[in-house]
Amino acid sequence: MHHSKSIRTHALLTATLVIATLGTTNEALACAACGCTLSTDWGSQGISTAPGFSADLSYSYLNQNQQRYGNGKASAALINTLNAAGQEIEAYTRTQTLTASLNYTGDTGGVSIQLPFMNRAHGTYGNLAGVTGPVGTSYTTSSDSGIGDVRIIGNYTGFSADKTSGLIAGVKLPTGNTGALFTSGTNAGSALDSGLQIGTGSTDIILGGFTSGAISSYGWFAQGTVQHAVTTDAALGGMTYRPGDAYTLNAGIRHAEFGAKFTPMLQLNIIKREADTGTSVPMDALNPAIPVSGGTLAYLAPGVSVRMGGGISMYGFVQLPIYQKVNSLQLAPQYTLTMGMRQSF
Amino acid sequence: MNIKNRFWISLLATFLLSLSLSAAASEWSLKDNTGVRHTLSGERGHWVLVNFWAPWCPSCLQEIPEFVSLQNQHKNLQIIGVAVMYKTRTEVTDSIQKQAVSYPIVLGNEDTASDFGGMAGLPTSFLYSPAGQLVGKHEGPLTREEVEQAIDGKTTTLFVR
Repeated sequence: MHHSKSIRTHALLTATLVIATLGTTNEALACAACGCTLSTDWGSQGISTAPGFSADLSYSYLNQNQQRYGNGKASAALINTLNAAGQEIEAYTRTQTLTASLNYTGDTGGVSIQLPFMNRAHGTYGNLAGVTGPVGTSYTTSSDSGIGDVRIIGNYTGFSADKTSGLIAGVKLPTGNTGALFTSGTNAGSALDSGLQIGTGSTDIILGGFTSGAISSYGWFAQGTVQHAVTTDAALGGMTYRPGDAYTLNAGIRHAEFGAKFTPMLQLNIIKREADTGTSVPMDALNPAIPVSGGTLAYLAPGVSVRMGGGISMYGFVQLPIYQKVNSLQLAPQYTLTMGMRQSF
Repeated sequence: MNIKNRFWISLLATFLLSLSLSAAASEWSLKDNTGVRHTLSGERGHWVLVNFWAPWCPSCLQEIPEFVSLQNQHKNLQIIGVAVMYKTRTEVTDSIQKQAVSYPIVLGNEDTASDFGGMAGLPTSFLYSPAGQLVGKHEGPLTREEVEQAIDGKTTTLFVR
């Protein structure tokens, strides 16, 4: 049984909110004659500017329960046609992630270690090819919890005097479980597909850059990254799996005085994810040239950050899709939530 | 947007609003670079001027001699300097040694500024009455005479709430 790999795209997109620890100095954002002083601490988005250590604990909720085909919602007729042709019809994929991060920001850069703990529940109506019966006949589910793939992300800001721009380099390690099984239904005990495992089984490199600045009392940042799997592990049953390359662009703007307690902000998150490859990657039942994975997604993410005192900040974001184009039939979320707490030391 | 979505967004909004309200504190506590802690309640009976500055800010450095003179002349006034946006501690200590600063200096950060409600520019100063009441905030450099006028009640527009 094959299951679509849409979860990878969306899980990665959610992670972009807290993907990197960047460092900038504040001097460059201060207007002439010290006239305006803008906060440059984008810590709630993982962009820490305060020198020293900080710890971050965030929770994200992602419920993929909307069937999409291409750049629109999948009609019932299309789903029935795909099902009749033998394509798997998924029901939902729900992912909850608790990520603990330890960050260090120095004079010319910083490093962040991100340790996710994940729970992923999945339900699918299965693939009815060769099966006689209505949709739901082969309904089966899975649920797995555990440590996900650890990320270690560094940044360097020593190229320019103002240090408002820099480079990002990091690695995603294959620490997450890749051996989960279906836990109930007709396929209980069989291997869950690679794209739905908590871990990808791959070691990925992450490269990118960022820049930040200010316009009047508005601060902004832009960050782009490329993620590429350099090594992969064989999936269960000897199947191979390599997650597709991911290209992300994040931009944010906010209005914030230095030390403001309540900071509203708005992010734009765009991710283009290439299709996964390997023997365990399914293809579209009507057009075998189209893989059932990958796509381009854009989210608008309003949020707020609140300083609690004592170096503690709380933050929250809602990601709302404004553009979704997926390959073949995939599940997509209607929103995602992220809440977190950050402590600077 | 369905009911479930609205529920989650309402929950998030409530969560963040409650955080915002709970973050509104009036008392502050500042530990200076010699380890002495200064609190608003602990300074009762004195006028208190809390001055936020940065070592790279010319306007900030320009007003420091005024404050040194002011502190030396007025025993009923306590000035506390809060250095922010500095790269290194040495940068701050070099500045205060060069200026022969005679009042306490705190090595602050954005969280320190947050305890005072934030600020749009540097230097920014907060004046408190001997009763511990905030007289107001002043953005921009101050002179000794201006602070003296504010303390004497000769001006009410210099520090605004």
